[in-house]
Amino acid sequence: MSKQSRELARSERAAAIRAEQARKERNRRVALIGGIVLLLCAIVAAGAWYGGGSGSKASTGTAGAHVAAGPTSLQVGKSSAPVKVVIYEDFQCPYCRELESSTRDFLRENAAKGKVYVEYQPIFLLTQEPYSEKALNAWAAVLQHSTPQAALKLHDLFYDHQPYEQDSGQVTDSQIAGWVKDAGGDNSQVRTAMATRDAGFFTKVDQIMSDKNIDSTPTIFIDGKELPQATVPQLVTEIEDAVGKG
Amino acid sequence: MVRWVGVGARLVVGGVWVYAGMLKLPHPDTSVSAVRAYQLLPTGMAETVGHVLPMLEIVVGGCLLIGLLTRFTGTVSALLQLAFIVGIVSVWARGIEINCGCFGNGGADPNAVSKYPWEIARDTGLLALSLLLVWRPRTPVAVDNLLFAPIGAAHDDELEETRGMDDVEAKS
Repeated sequence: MSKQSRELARSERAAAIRAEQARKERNRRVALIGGIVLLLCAIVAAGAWYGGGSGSKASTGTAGAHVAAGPTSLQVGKSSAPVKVVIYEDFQCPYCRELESSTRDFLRENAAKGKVYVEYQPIFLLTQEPYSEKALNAWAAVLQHSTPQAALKLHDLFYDHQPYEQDSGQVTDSQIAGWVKDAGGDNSQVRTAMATRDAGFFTKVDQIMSDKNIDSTPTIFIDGKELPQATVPQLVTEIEDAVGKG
Repeated sequence: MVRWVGVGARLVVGGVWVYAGMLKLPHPDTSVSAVRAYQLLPTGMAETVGHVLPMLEIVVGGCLLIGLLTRFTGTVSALLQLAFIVGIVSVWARGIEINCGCFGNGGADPNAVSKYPWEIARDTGLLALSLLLVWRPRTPVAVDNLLFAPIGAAHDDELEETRGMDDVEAKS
């Protein structure tokens, strides 16, 4: 073997070693990057799970609390409870939806423990929104012709299925009827009542709005005192504090 | 020089992300409301995005601040900014007046239209800085420099390695 070819072979071996090192380094980097990306995804998922767990997957129903139907409202818990919270809300109002998903579990659990008495008074504030009217009309039918439990569950379902305002008119009567059925509020009287607009009920809730001077939703009264307008997280804190102190 | 500009970009974009995410994290329901206010995504998806976004912002921001997988996180950052710009342009075009919800809150705002141009300008600036980091991810004072140390000592080799590493990174 000539000197020249020996040198050539040596440099080929060196090149092969370098290539092998480069390959290993590349593999190490791919594994490292993959591992870090996986870890980051896990952190984000954990954050989302934590957020989702603290309210938005609120269950529907009474959580064991006593429920009674008033003429136009629902009362949850015992009237002897130390704190009374009244919530005026509109089924199409996005802030009411947010308030619902933030407070539902808390209020139901505390109502069941006898710590708070909650009155839900749906009103017809967003008069240009078809969903506001349809949902309230169906809810009125269930409130008057079915059980309070069904009315409470339907109230929850209407918020869980709240459409965007731009899609308010796209919710069909059969979807509404389906939610009434899911809530356990379906019967022939309810179906008959839902078929027409309950003008008497709407007059009554309009009267409540003007009596209480309500021009926005959600409007909340704690022990007869109206909470000043605030962001939903602030309202939630006020409710939780009041119930906690009660 | 451009490498130190990159450090500045990392700190500005990363800082804004962490700040915005921290404001949203304690109020997941508000975050969902803010996403829903755009009336853009299917309602189920809006819920998921509202829950994922706060922590995603914090993680992306944190990575940029410490310089971890800078090209990858810069890409995510740029895509998010692009999505926000599209969202704001979309509500503006549809005449919906909302607080952008960028730093918590969100929802109706009667003066929104006067703020949209500034919000778009701000997000465009952050998008540009994010793209700078996608283009030149190697910056001083970054964790990337420790994890992916260049093999060759010579400057040219270093550049070679950097490109090779970033190709892998961008694909991951």
